Amino acid sequence: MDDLLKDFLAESAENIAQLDHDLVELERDPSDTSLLNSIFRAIHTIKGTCGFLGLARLEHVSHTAESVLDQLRSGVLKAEPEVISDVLRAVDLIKVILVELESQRAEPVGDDSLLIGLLEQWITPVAEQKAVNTDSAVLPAIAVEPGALLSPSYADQRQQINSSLRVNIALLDSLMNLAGELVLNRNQLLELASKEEDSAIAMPVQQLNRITAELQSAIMKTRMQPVGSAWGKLPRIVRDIARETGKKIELDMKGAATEMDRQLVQALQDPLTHMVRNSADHGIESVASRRAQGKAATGKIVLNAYHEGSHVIVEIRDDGKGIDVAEVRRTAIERGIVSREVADTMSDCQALRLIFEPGFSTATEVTHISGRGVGMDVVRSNIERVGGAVDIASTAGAGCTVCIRLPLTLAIISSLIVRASGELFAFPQASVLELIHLAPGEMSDFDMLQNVRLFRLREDLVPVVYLADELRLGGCEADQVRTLVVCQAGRARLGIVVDEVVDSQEIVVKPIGRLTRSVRCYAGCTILGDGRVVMIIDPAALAIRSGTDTAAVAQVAVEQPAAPAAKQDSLLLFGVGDDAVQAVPLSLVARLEEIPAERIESTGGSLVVQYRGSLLPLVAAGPSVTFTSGRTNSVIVFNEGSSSFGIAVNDIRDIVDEVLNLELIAVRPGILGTAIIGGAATEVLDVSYYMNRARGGMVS
Amino acid sequence: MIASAESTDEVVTFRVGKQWFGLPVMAVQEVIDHQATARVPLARSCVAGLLNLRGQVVTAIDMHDRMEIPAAASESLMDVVVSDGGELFALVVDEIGDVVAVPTHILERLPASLDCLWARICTGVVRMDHGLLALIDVARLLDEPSTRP
Repeated sequence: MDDLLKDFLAESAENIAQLDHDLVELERDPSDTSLLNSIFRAIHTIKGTCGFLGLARLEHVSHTAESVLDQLRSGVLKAEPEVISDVLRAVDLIKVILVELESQRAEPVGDDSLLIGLLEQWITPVAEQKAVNTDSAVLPAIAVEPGALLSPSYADQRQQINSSLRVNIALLDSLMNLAGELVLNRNQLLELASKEEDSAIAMPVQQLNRITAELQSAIMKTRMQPVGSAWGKLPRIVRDIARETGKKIELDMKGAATEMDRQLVQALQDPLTHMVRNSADHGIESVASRRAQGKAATGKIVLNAYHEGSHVIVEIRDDGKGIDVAEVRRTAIERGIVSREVADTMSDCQALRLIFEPGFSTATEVTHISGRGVGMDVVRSNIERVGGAVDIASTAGAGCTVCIRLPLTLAIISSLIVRASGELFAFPQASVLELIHLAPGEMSDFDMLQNVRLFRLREDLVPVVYLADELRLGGCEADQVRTLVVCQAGRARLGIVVDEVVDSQEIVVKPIGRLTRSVRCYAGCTILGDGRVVMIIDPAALAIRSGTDTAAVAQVAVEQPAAPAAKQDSLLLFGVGDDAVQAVPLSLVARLEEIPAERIESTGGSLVVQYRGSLLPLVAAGPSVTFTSGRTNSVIVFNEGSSSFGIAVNDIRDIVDEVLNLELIAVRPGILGTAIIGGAATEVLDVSYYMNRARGGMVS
Repeated sequence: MIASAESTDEVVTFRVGKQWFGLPVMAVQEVIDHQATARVPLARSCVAGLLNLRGQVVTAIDMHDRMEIPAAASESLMDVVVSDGGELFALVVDEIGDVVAVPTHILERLPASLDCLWARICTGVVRMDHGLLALIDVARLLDEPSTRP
């Protein structure tokens, strides 16, 4: 309410100043209807806002003045000096009340009946006009001494009110451009000055340097807007949802004064609205349900904005029911966003982030308030478009927190200047994850999958493109040390090979012209210190352009970190007679031995072999394993605690690395299942079954 | 110079290859020596690059390419800086001529033989001492790429 009052005072001060002038003009030229209309509008505006703010006295006065003006407009009344004087008196009274309002935050008490009466005589039919004494001598009660309006307090207040002013955005942008130019000039001067020692210009150039930097940052500040200006609609939205759903919700907004670039404030508006809606609609429980859980009946949504380094953080926190991670998993699998295997291996945090995927919504019922399945993915793409990031955390039953991280400004970004085929390009630093030095030999090591180069970055496979190829620059020398710039390109990562990283610097982002806009690779362009124009690469657009952003590759990039199950196992392959091959994970195997058949003895129906000074129980891996005198058998030795046992097979075939995907086909005792190994279906041995048999043999 | 009371257009003339063209003087912001440009990879072929004009980024248009006139061996190129739709463009041309006054009544309609590219960009022709002068419509010259391959 305070802000509204302040706005009202500032606006009214402007209007009133104009009114004085206009009314006097009107007196001079009563036929000027446009002037009359503008006066009417000004008074009308004041009246309207007064009513809204509950300022009864002001409203009454301005309403009456407006009625008089209406008579003037309709031509019933002529703009004679007497009428104008009375309207001016009303304006004066309005001023007095405004001054009081500014200092006391409340309307002063007073009786305006005399002035009202004076004004009303003009509204009453013309015939009765003369009946009222218009002698101003009877008006001392109004106490509008002209001096009061010029009194220091009013003048001061006016100054305070007018300490801000509206400026055209185009003017600010041109100031920004001019500052950019100045920076270029300064850079040239600095370079000149550095060449001459003891030069007389050294000092002034240093001064210029400092002033330019300050000027630039001051101009940057003019583009700043409090983040709270994107919050205006939220209380109403929350209230409406609360009413509609019968919930009790309190919206607490902190850090509304936190400033950021106006463009970013705009970009924040829709995502914020969406998320607050989500919190109110889906997060906060009904009063009954909250009571049942022992929570306060009134749910709370807290917005919190603050600066953190060169970023602005905006948090949306609610104390509702939180997000059910299990349901997120289930829905994501249902909608085909991830496979079950991948979902199972994801941590809760990772799984929660699935709600940012396109086509996801956990709302089981569609209400008209929110939850149409387009939501969080739009939120994320909006935030990412302006170089921000969004993350979510949730505790079941205790609420959910969404954290948005935005850069302070879009106009100046830190960037990495790289060279590819002799041309310079800039990468937004925010999207660069890491730089990797590539020796000449390493580039041929890229794995290929569907014609996409992949680079193994620790646990992940990252698609790789050559910047020179993508931009068709030509002149790619094969054997050369290069740098791999690993970027966050939308949802996935992209490695971009460049010749070298030249520099990192703060650059002023300039829009690119309409003839080049159709090339969707650039986020803009900039002018470097030496005056050179350089294109800014948009890694996300490059990923789409190069086709590495297709689902297949994104899937690889996404799945690899989260899917340890897909890791390869070393498998020991062995023959069990009749050309049948079985496999056993090498990690379980203790040793491999070749044992002559005659050393294998049979005791009480069980096979044993004297081995390292003790008896090693043996089990044949299937009936087709034969023990022929004069030949040796292969024995796979397993350790189980302090004891060991062996499985006798025909021969050892191979050791292969393979992803072990067991399928439960043709399961029988001793076989865990079947897997595709080396392109052939292979049975995988159940070691525990043989161990039990070997033990049983020992006992019996 | 202005013989009649009829309206007269002031036109900046320039040469591309052997052809002279004219632009309304109000469309031209300035004429400068050709500046070094930064390439814009993947942009349409008539975009010669971007140049820095006192801190403003200007899209340079290769007029040879745009008008499909074979490029002559390097001459001293000039940039005609024009403003259109709040954006600056530099037309890279071979030579700058005089600013001439063209009375509207001597403007001739485009001959039907003109190919459709030129017919689209030019608004009329004027007979001058050294041949025909083709008047150019800036907005159409700087059309979005979608209208042309």
